[in-house]
Amino acid sequence: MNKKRFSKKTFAFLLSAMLAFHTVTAGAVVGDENADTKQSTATEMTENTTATENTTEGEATNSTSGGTVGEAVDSTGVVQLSNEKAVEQAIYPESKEEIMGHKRILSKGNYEMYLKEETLSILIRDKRTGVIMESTVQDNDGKSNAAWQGFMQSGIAIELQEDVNTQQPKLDLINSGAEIDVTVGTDGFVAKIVYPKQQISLELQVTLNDDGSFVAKIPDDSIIEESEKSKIGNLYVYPFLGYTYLGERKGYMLVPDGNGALINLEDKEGRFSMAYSQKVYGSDIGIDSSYVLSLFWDSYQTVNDGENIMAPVYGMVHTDSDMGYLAIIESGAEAATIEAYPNGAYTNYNWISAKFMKHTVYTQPTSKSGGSVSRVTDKIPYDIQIRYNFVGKGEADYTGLAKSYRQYLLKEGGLEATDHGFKIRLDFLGTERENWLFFKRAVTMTTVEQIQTIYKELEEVGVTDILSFYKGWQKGGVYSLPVADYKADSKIGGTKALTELIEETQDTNIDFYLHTDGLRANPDTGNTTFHVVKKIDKRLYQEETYKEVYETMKFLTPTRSKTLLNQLTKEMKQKGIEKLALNGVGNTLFTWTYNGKSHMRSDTLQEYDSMFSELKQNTDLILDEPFAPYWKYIDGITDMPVSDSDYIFTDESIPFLSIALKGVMPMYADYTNFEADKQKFFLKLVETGIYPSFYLTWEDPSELINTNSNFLYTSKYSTYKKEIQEYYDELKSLNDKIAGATIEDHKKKGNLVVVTYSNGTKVYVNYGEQQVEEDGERIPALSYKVGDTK
Amino acid sequence: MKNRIRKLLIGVFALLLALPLPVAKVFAEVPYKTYMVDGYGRILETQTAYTPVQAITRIGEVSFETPRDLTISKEGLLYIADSSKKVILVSDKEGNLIQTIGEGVLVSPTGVSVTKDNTIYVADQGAQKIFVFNKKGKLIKEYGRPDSPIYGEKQSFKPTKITVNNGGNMYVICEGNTNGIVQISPSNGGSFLGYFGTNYTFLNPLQMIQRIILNDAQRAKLLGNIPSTPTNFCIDDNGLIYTVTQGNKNYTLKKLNIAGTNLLGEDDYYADLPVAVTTGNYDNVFVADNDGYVYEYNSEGELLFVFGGRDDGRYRIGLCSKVEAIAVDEEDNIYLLDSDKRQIHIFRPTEFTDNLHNALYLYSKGRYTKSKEPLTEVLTMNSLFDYANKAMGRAYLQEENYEEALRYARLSKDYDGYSDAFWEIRNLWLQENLVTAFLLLVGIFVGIKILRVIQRKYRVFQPVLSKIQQVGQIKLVTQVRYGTYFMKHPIDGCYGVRREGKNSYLCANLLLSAFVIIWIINKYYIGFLFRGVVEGRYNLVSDIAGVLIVFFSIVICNYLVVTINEGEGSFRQVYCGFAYCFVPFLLLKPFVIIISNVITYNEQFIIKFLNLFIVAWMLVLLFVMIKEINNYSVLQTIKIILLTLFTLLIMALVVFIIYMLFTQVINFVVTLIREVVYRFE
Repeated sequence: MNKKRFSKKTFAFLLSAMLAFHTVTAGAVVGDENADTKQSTATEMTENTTATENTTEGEATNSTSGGTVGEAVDSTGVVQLSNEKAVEQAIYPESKEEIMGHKRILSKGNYEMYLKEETLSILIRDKRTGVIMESTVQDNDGKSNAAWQGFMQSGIAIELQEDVNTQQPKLDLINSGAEIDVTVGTDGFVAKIVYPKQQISLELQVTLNDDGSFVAKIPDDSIIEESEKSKIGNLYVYPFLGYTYLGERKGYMLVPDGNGALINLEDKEGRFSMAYSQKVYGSDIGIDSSYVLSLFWDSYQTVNDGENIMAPVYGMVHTDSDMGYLAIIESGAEAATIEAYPNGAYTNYNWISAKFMKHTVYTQPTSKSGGSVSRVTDKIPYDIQIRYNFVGKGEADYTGLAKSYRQYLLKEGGLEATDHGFKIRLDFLGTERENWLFFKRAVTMTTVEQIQTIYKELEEVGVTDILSFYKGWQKGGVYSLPVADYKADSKIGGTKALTELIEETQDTNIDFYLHTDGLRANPDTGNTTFHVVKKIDKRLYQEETYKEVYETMKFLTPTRSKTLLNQLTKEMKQKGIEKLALNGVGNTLFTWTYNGKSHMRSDTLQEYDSMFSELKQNTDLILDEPFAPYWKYIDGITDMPVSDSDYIFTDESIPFLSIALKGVMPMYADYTNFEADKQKFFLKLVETGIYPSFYLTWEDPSELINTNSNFLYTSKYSTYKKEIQEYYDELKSLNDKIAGATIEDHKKKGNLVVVTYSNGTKVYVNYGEQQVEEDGERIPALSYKVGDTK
Repeated sequence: MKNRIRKLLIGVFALLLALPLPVAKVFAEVPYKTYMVDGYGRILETQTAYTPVQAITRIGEVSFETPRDLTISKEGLLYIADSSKKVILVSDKEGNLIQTIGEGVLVSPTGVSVTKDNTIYVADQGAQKIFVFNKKGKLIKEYGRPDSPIYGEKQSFKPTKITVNNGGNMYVICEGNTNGIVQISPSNGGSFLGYFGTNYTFLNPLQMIQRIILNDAQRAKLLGNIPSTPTNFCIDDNGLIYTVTQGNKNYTLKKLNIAGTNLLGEDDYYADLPVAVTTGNYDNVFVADNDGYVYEYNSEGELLFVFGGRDDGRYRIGLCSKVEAIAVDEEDNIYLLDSDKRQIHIFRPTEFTDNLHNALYLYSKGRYTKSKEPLTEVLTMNSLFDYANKAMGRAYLQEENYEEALRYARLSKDYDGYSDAFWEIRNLWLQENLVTAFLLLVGIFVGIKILRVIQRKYRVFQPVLSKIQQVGQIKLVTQVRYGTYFMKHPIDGCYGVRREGKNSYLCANLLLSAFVIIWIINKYYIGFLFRGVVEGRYNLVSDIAGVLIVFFSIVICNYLVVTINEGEGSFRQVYCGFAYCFVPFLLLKPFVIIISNVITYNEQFIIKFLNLFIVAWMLVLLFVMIKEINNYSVLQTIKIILLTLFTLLIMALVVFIIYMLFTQVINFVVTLIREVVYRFE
């Protein structure tokens, strides 16, 4: 049988080698590929062929043979793949009582769980293919120090907060003398862990679900810290789940940066000494020190912040063994940091994990001239809960992870499919303010009447499906914040005219949303003495705008935001207006104090969550770049990143969130106005299924030069009219073909991307400078093509 | 065209082989902002000018160790000088090794330059020599320290950077040589031609005083005021040499012609810590800053944009740690050599930048009308882009479309362009309306004459005139009107103030208010060409406060000095005297303001003259007033004026000290409260 397959395979090998190799290594850096010899290249190809060839269970285990791959069956019946590079890919075709010191404790669906009690290490075995995924390092390479070695071998690891030290020593289960008491139940196990020396104890609950996913939970009330000195700084739960060593395995780690990014599991040759490490839901203005490292000409911040993590997920995929997992932080995400360590950063292993903060140090200023003391926060109360969804055979790639996330969102996340087809987003700026002799003077950019004209003109050329945000409609202009009343500025035509416009749009395909910032309060336009956020050190928080008219903004407390926005939506509802778009509240989370009482990020999250669910009673909601927990309340996501932040660690940018959300939730991109590479940006919209956005004004934006909105350097409607029409026509016809469909497959082949939708439509996007041929379709340079529906 | 064919060939070749092509990221959020400078020198954000595409970390199998210089030949090959590896690495743009040059010869190469015929010049700081290699990497010549006496007897020869002109003359920057760039001719095995592009030093007033007062020993302890050596340089196709010098304040970038004259002026927007400079394909100049900022200038040294930034632990592609060299290839890609990260960052221009370059090229070649097309493209993408507005204005000026030219010139604060366009518009207006205006003037003149005649004969206007006379009789009005008399006859005027009661606080306050108002109008509404303030920026409170504080401090100090120096004036008299000195300003300045709105740079002497006239008159009045009010002699008056100035100084000092003490007290109290709160919490 093997021989027969071999000849077949040789043929397949020749045929698919080139393309297959492309797929496997797309995105790899040139140098790395030149590094290895032909032999290893051939190995990669063969493995890949194996993975794609074998379709039935059982065969997978015995079919590995060929020129360079040797086969060795050891006495325990484990098939060991081996070649010169010694790939550690153990396959266990039969279920066993014990694997590598781990005892089988549970078996559900397609997966089995094995546990090693001393270290709480677990193994997950895919029953279909026999491949396993480990959660701790069994025999390490001996190149790391004892602290790291202990860390690698433990299922739970702690970074200790001792007094106010900024150095946090690691506390693992090997070196600490921890006492572990495990009770195995029918659904999983519960482990009580006591660290006698540090007087810390906690409980880990692991449950295996029927679909093979497992949930690890550390309830907050199980964490007991009796010592005054030693507290839990950070907690890691199964940090090494799915780890790999140097470039031994094929696959990648998924980091939720921007729309999604991958770190390939290849030998990085010591290029990185640091890891990817980002706080979920962005930084915390209440605790994080807000100093800026280097300012250009002493006053300009030239570095763009990376994208916030919108969704608390990360993943690991071993493409060579067809197994991967998506980790979803179900609880405690707001206190978590996602860390992805490529090899070379401290150890030779690739691993990805979430780190949960329980205590942290902050500085309390005691004098005006910079004197301060360090203090430790109280324990931040929240349960830690991570769900690990496994993907197996045929699904083990980033598309599989994204699909798994989509299913999770629809099933557990309360999300409903609200994507009702293509709309182009056209936002308008109403009125702004500039300094004048004694007062501020209105600079009016787009009035209600002008919007009506624009709609009419666009209708004539067939642009009818529109989503619009009206910014700067409120009395006092766009930065007159907060907005609590439905009162329009007289310069744009007044409240009555605005209400009429909205009524007119209700019979059309135009979704007209009033836009405001629910978070910020402007000290120059209103009283901001009360109900504004103070940082954890009880100092008032002020956000610098680096502009001339209004120099700072304050943040409203979540309770205040809730009151004001409720008032606004009620007033709007009385006039029959039920569409509101919000900035600020949906994409900012912070720790704050008010009247001496501290509130953690989780409190803020809960407060906002209840606010959105209340607002939902009165109005349709859209949020700018919202965090995942609010997705269930909204009808669309705006300012959706089409790419990632381009960290040096990440090898590839993938539309992870787009794959998960396309066909479920309408997504609108950042404004096309500001893109310097319009063609590529357009292709990105085609690839990701994100809808285009424009920011428009009737007047020339040079009028805005003396206002806070002087970042708007191009927005005049008359110059964009044609472009809007072109974007609309092209993207509308594309999106009509995939209306309501979800993305089922996404593949990169060099500069070509092929996206397959659930209705069979294939979209080919060519980012290259040369024409490409694929599936008999010719895709010209820097262009795209929609394949026939099969 | 050639390029395109080559590109296509490479593409086809690559496809045939199905080689694993380096797949650079097609689109990513750029980690830095791009800024431009508007006409007022304000920094505004603009579209991304260049996106980072890739980083070369190794040439073939060789990683960098201490890369110090990078240059790109006409063939598009990269030449990298690595001082620890002691070689010049030659690679293609993908990072494939083509050859290594100078193994066993070079000691510590820090600078490399390649001529059109691919001769390679290497500045070797360690060997204290310049090595010349041919295309194949064979050593053909070497030059050591020049033995000419002009070179300087004790001067060492440690070449760090080198560039070569078309004639084969070498320009060398040497470490520790502050005389300038060393110029060496290849004739006679290297003859020293002299120093070139020397930087000069400036003495500030404090240093001048120090030099005069201090003795030699003390002077020796001061920091030496030595001119800085240029940090780096490059040469363009026309033989112009661009140098960058760190710590040269607003002269860090220079464009030197063959005679060593700087063709660029002073500019605030030159890099602070420039490390390298290179020229692009459109007469544009790129300067790289040590911290990873890249500045692009047009040929006149005007900043187009600046982008980039320090990495600072952000780990984003496109941010640098320590830049050593910059190079630009035929396709306008920028290469930055980072010695700390040991890699070459490659940046690709965006559509926006391509359009701009296109316009830049056409414009510099004088094809103004043609340049309007890409300029419009640029302005659609960014209607505030200053350079484009300026060029557009100039293009319209050439086309004699003055209205548009004026609009664009005003947008971009192109004062010269504005002046020219305005002159033309005014000229046209005058041509059209001169006759009408003349007739109007004659009409008015005749009309007045007729009215006078009517008045004389029939006294029709008597009631109106007597009303006016009545108003003129009001005390306040006479006092205000007395100002005109005071102005013309200050000595008599002062007598009136002192003896005839021609003074009152009300009147003085009125004059002062008028002064403040005209002062503000002058500041914000003087003609565009003469305006010193930024449009849209108003600081009325501080304007008014400033004028009043200065005025009252002078009056008070003067009064204080006068009372103890046998002056005869009362405070009211001194105050009124000062106020009356404003009259020339009050009467003449409104005319200046009006005229300034219809005047161009050609007639600006009128404004200058009038302003000078007003100031001179006011000063004379002041002097006479102080003398007469207090009944001083001329010498006494001079003494009093000097004393007043001294008192002002003392007063400022006292206020400053009180302010400092006050903030200290506040600081102390705040600290105390915070400490207490912290302890008892």
